[in-house]
This record gives sequence, C-alpha cells and structure tokens, in this order.
Amino acid sequence: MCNIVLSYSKNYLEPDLVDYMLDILPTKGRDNYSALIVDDDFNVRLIHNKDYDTFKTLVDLYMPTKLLLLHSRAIPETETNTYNGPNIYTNNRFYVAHHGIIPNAEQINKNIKIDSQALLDIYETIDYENINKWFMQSVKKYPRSSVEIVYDVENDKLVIANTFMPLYYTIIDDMYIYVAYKPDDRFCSMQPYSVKVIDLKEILVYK
Amino acid sequence: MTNVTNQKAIVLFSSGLDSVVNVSILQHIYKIEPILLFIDYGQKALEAELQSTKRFASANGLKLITHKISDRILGSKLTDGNSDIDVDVSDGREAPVDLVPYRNLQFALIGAQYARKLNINIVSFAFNISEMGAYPDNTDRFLENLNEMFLATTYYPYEQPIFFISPTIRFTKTELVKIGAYLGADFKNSTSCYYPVNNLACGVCNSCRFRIEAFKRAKVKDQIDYAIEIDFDSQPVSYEDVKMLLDVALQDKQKLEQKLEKFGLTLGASHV
Repeated sequence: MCNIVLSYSKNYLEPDLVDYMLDILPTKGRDNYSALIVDDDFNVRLIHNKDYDTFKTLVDLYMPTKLLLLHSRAIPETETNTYNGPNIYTNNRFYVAHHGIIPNAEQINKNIKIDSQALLDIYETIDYENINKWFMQSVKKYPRSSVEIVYDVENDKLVIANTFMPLYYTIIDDMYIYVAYKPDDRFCSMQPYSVKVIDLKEILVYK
Repeated sequence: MTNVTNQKAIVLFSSGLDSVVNVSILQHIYKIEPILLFIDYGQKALEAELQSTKRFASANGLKLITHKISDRILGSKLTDGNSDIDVDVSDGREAPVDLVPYRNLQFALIGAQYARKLNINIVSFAFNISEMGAYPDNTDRFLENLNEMFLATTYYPYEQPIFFISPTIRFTKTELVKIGAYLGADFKNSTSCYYPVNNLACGVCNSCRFRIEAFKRAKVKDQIDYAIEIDFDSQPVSYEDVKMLLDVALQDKQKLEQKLEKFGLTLGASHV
C-alpha cells in the first residue's frame, strides 16, 4: 500500500510545487520512497531510498523537471517475506508505480517478488486504440485493487488508471497533479475503474 | 437547531488491534470521548469479540452500545455457517476470504443513527493501510464518498451533519502498534483471533498472524495470551519513534476541524 504523487506540465514544475509533492508523499506509506524524473531529452532517472530526508535531497538534485512521479511504500503485515523492493518498477519499456494489491500476481508471473512486476506483464498487451476496453478486460482477467501510473518509454505515453482504490487530481497553474491520498479540497476524485492516457509529446516539449 | 456535542464520537468497535488504537488516538490526539458501538452481524468470532469489547469498555470506563443486525450478512466466510475461515499460512496474496460485502456501509448507517439519536456528529471507523487494498469499503475513497453522500442527504440546519472519520487509516498495523504502545493503548483487553482456544488467541489464523507480525515488526510485546509460544522482541517506544506518525494523525485532526468549522462546530468543545 502506497502513496503516489504525480505532476507534469509544459513548463518546469515550480519549486514550491515540488516541495508540496514531497511534503504530502509520506502521508501514506513511510517504509520506502522512490521517484521517477524525466528530463527535457526524455531521459529517465529513478531514485530509491528508505530515508525520507535523504530521498528529498536526492530528488532536489535533479530539479527542475516537467515530469515528476513520486511513490512511497507501506509494507503490509501480509507481506511476510518482508521484501523491501523498489517502489517504482521497470522493465525498461514501462515504469510502473502501483498502489494496491494484485491477489493472483504469481499466476501472471511465478518469478515475481512484488506486485508491480506483474503489472509490467499486464501492460505488455496494452491497446491504446481501445484503452478503456483493454483496461477493463485486464482487470477482469487479473482482478486488482490499484492505482496504476505507467510511463511507456517507447510511446512517450503516461497511463493513469484506478480500480476501487482512490486517485485524486487537480490543476494548479497549468501543472497537473495526481495524488493517491486527498490532501485538500482542491482535488477531485477520478472515477473508479477508469483509465486515461496522456500523450507526453503534446505535454512535454523536446529540446 | 438540535443540540450537538463534538466532545464525543460514536466509535465502531470490534476489540481488534485497530479498534483499540483508534480509541487511544481519539482520546489523546482528538481529545474526544469515544462511545463504543459493537455490532453483532453474525460474525463467527462474535462471542470472543463481544466479551473482549465488554472487558475493554469496563476497564477503560467507556460507554458501550451493542447492536444486533437481525439478518446475518451473507456471502462471507466470516458469517456463513458452512465454511471455515482460512487458517492456512499463505503469503497473503490470495483474494480476501473474509470480505463481508457492504459491511461498513451498513455499519455507517447504524453508527449515524446512534450519533443522531445521541446528538453526536462524529462516527469513527478503524481502517488501516495494510488492509485497504483487500476491502473496498476500507478505503479513503469510501470515507470521502460516505461523507459526501451523508452531507448531500442532510437538510442543514434543520439536521446536523454527521462526519465519518478514521484516525487510523493512514497507518499500517505495525505503525498502529507503535502509536498504541506510545499512547498506552489497552492491548491487554483486545482480541483479533478468529478461533480462540480456551479463551486464548490461536496464534495461527490469518488475523493472529498479521497481529503477531505487526507487534514483532514494531518490537513491542503483545499483551494478550496465545495458545502457542511466541517470542516478542520488546523495546520501549520513544517520542522520536512515533513523531512522524503523530504528525500525520494531527494533520487528519486538523482536516476534520476545518470541516467542522464550516458548520460552526469546534472539535472537543461543547456545542449547545
């Protein structure tokens, strides 16, 4: 169980906004932190750290950015193998931030250690032309309680999805913000069992 | 206008780990008096939960309301007569066998009715992060929607608003054990076991396993007795250990105060 905080904009994210994102991150999940940062050339940096203060310092090193995805993890007591893996997981095509449980994750991939790995396999079949139909079929095939933020490197797309677990969003000064725990009343709830795709070529500007 | 007191909250209470820490947070951080509401919905562990709840209420000087739902909620291994609750030790990735569909929605309605009857406008659940992903009616989305639905069906100011909260929702069970140990929660008079053995917690059912894991990770000795031998590595919980957690709890308290303020209400103060 985790918190996810995402922001993207055509402009660099304001330092105050980045501070705000970092401040609200540990309101849900304090066992491990990670960040995905995309620079102007669409290079991706992943940061993982268990110490919150160290993590914040590391994130600040790579500012400014136009796309920042933060993830904090709460390791539930059901996870008795105490695997303390990275929060944002990748197979180099997809970067996955996941909040929730995939009950049958091991049926998808016997070798997985954390649920997020199963999501990578699920997203290999993504059909952007029929994204709503694809998403609901994937949920039917692999039931899951989740918020999923997936960055598709090959297609420069960002997929934002949720089932019954909540995801909230708002726009502040042209900066889009998504959070898995509602910080205040500026945020609206994304409909349960819905998905949206952001074409980052239209949002982020190449050098 | 109805007289309402914000010094009290109706607290849905099962006598489990989350419930007893919820009471401590309400007492010590929210500074309000919990009135326990125990609901008999035909759960298999009814007798153990009810006896433990009575002991907890008595030991802590709290008022207790017991409410029986006349028809047992069906469709769950927690309530159906012919199926056993899973006791096997798996890695917790299986679909939740103890899901009781719409249980907390029913609990909310019952809690709201008692709150209205007693002129109280806060009803508290004890959800936690660890179980949020398994039960759709344990999420913050559920709470948000519940609050919105109740406000939308309240004819203010003829009727007072009722706010549903869960001071425990942002914590894992491990974190709740730390907070509870720091605040002096009465773990001794709690129970989590599905299958008590001669009034002792079995130590092997899923609920016991997760409780034991939480106490072990928190490095706190559980105060209840188990039917099997369990070693707890215990060390005192300091303010530094829980400072970040208490800050999170205070943030939620402040959010509730802002909601109350909109209706001219103040947390912890008598409103007559």
